[in-house]
Amino acid sequence: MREGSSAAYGILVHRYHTRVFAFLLTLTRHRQDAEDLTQETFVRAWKKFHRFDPELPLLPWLFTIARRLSIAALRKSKPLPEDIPFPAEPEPERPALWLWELAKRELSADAYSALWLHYREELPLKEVARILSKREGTVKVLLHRARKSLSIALRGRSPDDFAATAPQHSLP
Amino acid sequence: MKPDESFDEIGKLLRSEKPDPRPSPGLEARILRALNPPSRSAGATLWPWFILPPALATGLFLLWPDATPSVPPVVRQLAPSAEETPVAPEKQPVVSLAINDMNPLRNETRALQRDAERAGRFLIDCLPSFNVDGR
Repeated sequence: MREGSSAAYGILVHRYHTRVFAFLLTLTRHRQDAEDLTQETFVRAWKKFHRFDPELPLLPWLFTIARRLSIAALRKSKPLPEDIPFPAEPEPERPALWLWELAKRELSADAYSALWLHYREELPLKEVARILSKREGTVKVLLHRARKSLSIALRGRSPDDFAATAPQHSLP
Repeated sequence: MKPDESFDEIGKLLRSEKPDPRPSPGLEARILRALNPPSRSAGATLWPWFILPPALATGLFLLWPDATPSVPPVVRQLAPSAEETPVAPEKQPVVSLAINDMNPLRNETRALQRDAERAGRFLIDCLPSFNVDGR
């Protein structure tokens, strides 16, 4: 890799591009922008690969680059659309996916991306904080508020029988 | 149930099933294309290194201002003395700049004077027996 093997880097692209794209989607909320930024992320990572510490996991490093690029891109482009359509009613057998859609609509980009990194990518708080350039305590608060908002939104939007459809995750 | 517990339940629910947004199928190929832009062939990149240095050297050689002018400058030389004479030649100024500044007629005058002296001595030498008293 260090010697610049583009074939080896191609394997990394194949392995991680979907996850980088998904993370960028939480920040941009726009598919085309997320795809453009994914491409830019991998090109930037390729150029800066000599700075990567091989002792550390690669994906958080890619997420960090992706976030920086997305911030720069969002500064140039117009602001995010305010009115994201409310997700359709949950399918009885897939309440979690509906909750993710709800999170995308209800939460700020920061909170949603923190939620994504912690619950979707299973990254520890410390890593999430590093990627988002925040303190660990700030991320903890961000996640707590996000869960609270979701809980409230869930109570207001979803009927009680929503919990009944997911017995293993009973909700109030 | 306490609110904190409900928040935990939210976390569990989020972990229970995760969304998996997929990018366009061509994104991976697009990234790889961006990483390896089509480069020019090796021949196209190498030939200038062989052609340009000699071309530059030739150009410099042709355009370099010549140190020796093509037309030789006019050199004024002193008129050579007519004959070898026992008389020690007068010291000529050797400074070239002085020669250039000298009037050329002066050399002619000097040569004529030498000729006249030589002719006078010749006459004296050739007529040794001429005796005024014998007349």
